[in-house]
Amino acid sequence: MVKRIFIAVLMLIASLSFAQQKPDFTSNKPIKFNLALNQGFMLQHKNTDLYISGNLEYFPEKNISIRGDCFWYIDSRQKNPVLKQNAIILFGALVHLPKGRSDFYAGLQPGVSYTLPNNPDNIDVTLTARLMPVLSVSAGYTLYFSKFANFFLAANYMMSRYRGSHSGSIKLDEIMISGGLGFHINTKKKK
Amino acid sequence: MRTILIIVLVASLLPVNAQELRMKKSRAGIFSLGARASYGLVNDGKWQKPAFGAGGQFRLQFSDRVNSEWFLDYLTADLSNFGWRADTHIGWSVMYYLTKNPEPKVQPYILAGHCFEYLKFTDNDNPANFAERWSASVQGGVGTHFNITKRFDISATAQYMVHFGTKIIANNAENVTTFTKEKGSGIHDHILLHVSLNYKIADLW
Repeated sequence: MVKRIFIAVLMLIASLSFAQQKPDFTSNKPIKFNLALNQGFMLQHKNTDLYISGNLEYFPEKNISIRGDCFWYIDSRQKNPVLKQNAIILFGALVHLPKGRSDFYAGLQPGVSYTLPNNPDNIDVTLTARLMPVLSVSAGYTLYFSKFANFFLAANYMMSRYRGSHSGSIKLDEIMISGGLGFHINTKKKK
Repeated sequence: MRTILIIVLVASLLPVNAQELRMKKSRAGIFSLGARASYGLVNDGKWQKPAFGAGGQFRLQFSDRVNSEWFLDYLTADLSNFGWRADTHIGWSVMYYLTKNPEPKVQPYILAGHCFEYLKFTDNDNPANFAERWSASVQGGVGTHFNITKRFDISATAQYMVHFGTKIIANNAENVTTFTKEKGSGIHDHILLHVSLNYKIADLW
């Protein structure tokens, strides 16, 4: 059932993207912003995390955007979570392949995280929250269905390490998936 | 009130940013902003593990073939499994383009420059046990821009950086970690690999 709905949504997106012949929406140089819930899947731990995220994005060209993201760790779905606290800030650029109201993108965003894991070794050592570098590779899809709102699906691969635990560094690589409603304002008027 | 002022200020800048880059006489004066990721290999001992970092930079071009890059990097790495290091680099490099064409799709360059480093070694089990130092360094290397559009490029750089400062040696024997600062000023090095994304903001002169 879920699979059928997923295929139907994909077909709807495809039909909407091929149905019109208007200029690419990102030619209007939109400023985009959204808030979303992210489901995270840690790659080195059997742990799934929940984040709230927000981003602000500007299109100086129709194929290029500059974007800043922030992520705030809410909780894990497991009883023994790997993380106690995690806040991430990213800044980078994305390359877009717009076609009418549809837009596929991919990009790279370096950044920093302020991270505190739970004590993984169960020994009497107090870990402290630390500033750590992060690299995010992101890809996604946006459907600009109205003048001010869009629908988006996004995936991020977030690479980070917490240094300084008793047994060395803790790998915190995570794939995050989000989707939902976003908003935009066009900064260039249509001719 | 302050929030409203900030919003008005940002909004007033947007039409300026939305315009095409107006080139003046030459490419001198082009100002770019970028973000970068770094991978570092350090040659101080077997206890040194590769470093990973993130940072930012801006570029200011001096002529059609000479550009400059001003950067800040923050890298962290393991010291075996008993400690960790954090390097903060702040510095600049001059880049010389090897092609006469000012806007090729692939634009290789050589670079050389100078930077300052703050380095801190910390014991994994006892954060109060640490050693730190400031040093100056020189770096040189090669790189290339991949010009995706006229204003946006992705760049890859490999550079060799030599630091002139007090060398710190990390040691762990019988689960006791020690950091020793050698007397005098020594030479120690890394190889740094960077990937950066850069956008040309304006032609300043």
